[in-house]
Amino acid sequence: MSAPPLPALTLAEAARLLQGRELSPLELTEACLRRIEALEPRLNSFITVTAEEALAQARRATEELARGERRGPLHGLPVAIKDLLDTAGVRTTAGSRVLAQRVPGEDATAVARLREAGAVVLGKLNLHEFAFGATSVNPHYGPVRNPWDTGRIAGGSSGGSATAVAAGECLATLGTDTGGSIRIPSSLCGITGLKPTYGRVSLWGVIPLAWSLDHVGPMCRTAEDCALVLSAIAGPDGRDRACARVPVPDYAAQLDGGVKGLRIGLPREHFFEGAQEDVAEAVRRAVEVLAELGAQVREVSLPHVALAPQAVSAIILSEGLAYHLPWLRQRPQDYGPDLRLRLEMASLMPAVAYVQAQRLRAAIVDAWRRLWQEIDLLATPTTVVTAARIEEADLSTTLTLLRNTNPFNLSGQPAISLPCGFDRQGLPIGLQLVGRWWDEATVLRAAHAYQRATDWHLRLPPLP
Amino acid sequence: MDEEQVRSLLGRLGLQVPPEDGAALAAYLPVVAQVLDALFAADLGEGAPAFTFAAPQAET
Repeated sequence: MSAPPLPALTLAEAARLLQGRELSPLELTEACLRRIEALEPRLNSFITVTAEEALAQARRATEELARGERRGPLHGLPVAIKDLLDTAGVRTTAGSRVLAQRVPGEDATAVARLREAGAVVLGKLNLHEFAFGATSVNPHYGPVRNPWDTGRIAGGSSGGSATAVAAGECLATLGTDTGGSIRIPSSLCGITGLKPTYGRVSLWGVIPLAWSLDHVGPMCRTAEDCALVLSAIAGPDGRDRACARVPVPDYAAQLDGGVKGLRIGLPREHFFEGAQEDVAEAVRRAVEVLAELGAQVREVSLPHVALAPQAVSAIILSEGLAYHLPWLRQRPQDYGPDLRLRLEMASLMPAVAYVQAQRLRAAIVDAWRRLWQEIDLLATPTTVVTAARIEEADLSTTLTLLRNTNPFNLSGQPAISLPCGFDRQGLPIGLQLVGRWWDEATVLRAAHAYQRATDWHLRLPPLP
Repeated sequence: MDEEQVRSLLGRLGLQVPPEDGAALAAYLPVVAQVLDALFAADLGEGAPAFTFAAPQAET
């Protein structure tokens, strides 16, 4: 057997190599652990690496596959988990000092489903403190560094989840997304990340940021890989009252339909405002590629969309403070200064702002439901800017990064970010495709068609 | 509301605000007003949604 072709290897390719016995789970896991050891001093993707447990899981998977007991496409593949999702017996810190020593007794549902599918868990990934921001400049565990330029932010809050995939430290990760925290770091690090429909993936065992906006989803190199992971983790869960009883399709089986005849909306307002010129150009060119593949592109308007960031802000601050208030009273010194101040500010937000934000949210869903009778997908830049320098990242950086992603946390629609080019400094640019509620299949199909026609997702950062 | 009044208000919620946060919190109040203005500026129409609660339905 030859050495695993990290970091270029995708999850789907690795699954084929394992199935063909050209590679074993143990070899693949050992290769990932070597890469983690070599790159972590530069990237800081991980808070906890569970090497011994991972090697034990990989040995078990190697034996099971040798006996022909294959559980599915994820069996024996190394993955890693954002340190916001509980892992039985392994500390789950939320990137905080408050929970630095917390060791859950059970896996989050999404983690348990990955394990049932046979995935090998390599460890827990760094993030913005308590997921409360979009830069992943963490005051307790250090900043996550962008593999394309280690002086720049990875984006967040799932920053480590993005860098670990981009750098080939693992083949897939789980992230969470409350205002854009899967899609933003995916865009800034040049990988593919999917926020599913609200309620598609259980939130049980996930430390909350804002209950009514939180989502769990896959972060991978390709849309095909996201389809494989989503199929494993999605579906009803009686322990999460927001998790819907909606059937889960076989997403990978529906990838090859192409985009011919799909109606793609290009927004007239909001989403391109303030965009870097090269970001806007790359996204418009990506939409042209989809049109060349047979999609019909038309301009559309999304009512009230400019107010979505204000509504999301009122909801995140209110729900977030409700969760944090007991700790904030008892141990404010354990919060980073940035988050402590933000939570103190949240206590000044009146209840009427939260109520009006929820009313606006309902109005937006009603208005957009009508719009979605005219289109099948919406295309936007994921972020209007590329990765900022770490020392320049502040609250305004977070607000700028969130403006194109958080409208779809408010609406709960599925949205993916996929690489569509690079700016003049060689930093990745992301295309966001948004679909109808519960229609992740069309989002993934269009992203897959784009990735078959382009090679942006195959480019690798300048790492050894 | 000045810095001391804000600190006193948050103190009633049980929060001990460090001195270095006081000025930023006082400066944040106009931002809250802007958020409220924005949220109430939207014309949601005559059928503006209520803030709802749904009673649990019996299992069938």
